[in-house]
Amino acid sequence: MFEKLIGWLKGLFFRRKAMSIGIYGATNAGKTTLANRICLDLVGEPIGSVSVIPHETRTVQKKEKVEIKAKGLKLSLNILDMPGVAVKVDYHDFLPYGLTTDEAQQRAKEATRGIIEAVRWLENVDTALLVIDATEDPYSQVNLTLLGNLEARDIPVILVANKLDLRGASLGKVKEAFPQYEVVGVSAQTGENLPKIYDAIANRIS
Amino acid sequence: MHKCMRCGKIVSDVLQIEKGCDCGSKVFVFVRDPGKQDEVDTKWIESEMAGISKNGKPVVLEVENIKMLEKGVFEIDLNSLMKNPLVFKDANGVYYVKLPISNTPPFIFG
Repeated sequence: MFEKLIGWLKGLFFRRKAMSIGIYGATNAGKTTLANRICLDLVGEPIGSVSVIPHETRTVQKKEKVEIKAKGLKLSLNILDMPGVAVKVDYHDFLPYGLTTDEAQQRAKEATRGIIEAVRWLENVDTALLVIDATEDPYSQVNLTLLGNLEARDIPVILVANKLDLRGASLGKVKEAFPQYEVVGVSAQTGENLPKIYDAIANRIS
Repeated sequence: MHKCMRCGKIVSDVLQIEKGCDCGSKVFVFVRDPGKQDEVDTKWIESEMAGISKNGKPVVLEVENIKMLEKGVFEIDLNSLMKNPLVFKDANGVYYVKLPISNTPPFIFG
């Protein structure tokens, strides 16, 4: 009874601190599109720019004290949109988009720095959303490494199977690949199923 | 082979690594191609890494978690990046190290 009372009091007071939600994932999985969707939905303004050129987000983008209401709870969140994680960054990949060699090399340098930054920020994240492109094979080195390390650090993780609006996307494949995790299927592009993410976050926190 | 980060001596004997180099340093870096690194001053790495040596055990940097293959092309060992101090190797074989406790910029990309 006493422990229950302590738990209730802790919940009452400590939940007031904003939780940091880190949005992680491979390059072009739709992290910034998702972060923008969440921020537009909740505070009416986007968090960062989106581009077809890989590694558009090269520094951590933050939106602080964003409030969501889910599962009867009112939660204050810090949304952290992380640079895309990759195992190789090659400036040649940027050249077809019209960048000069110098611009592409600079972008590669900043993207690599961004990956380091994303990894370093793991220490400050309370819950992670791992965004997976549902049109791709979910068993990628990036996804497996991120999941393994999040688990090792005891950071709760919600898998977001994104791009469900696209032909070839498979929520089932992501669920099948990671049966031990909670998977929410969304389309960040259309906003489909966004409230399910809020519910999943509320479940993690409450 | 391993190279002592203080005096540059190449050490191949595991027992010697355990004991430490003749110069007294216990910080080594794994060397795939010793010829490439002979001209590089790596003494500062020894002073950076000496602090994390626990109980006098040797520190061996076997993995560079970021490798620059050429200008603008980077290979990233994600798993080791998440667990180890940041070790960056540029195209000339120069190592740059950032310890997790350090607030200084990790390195300057070439």
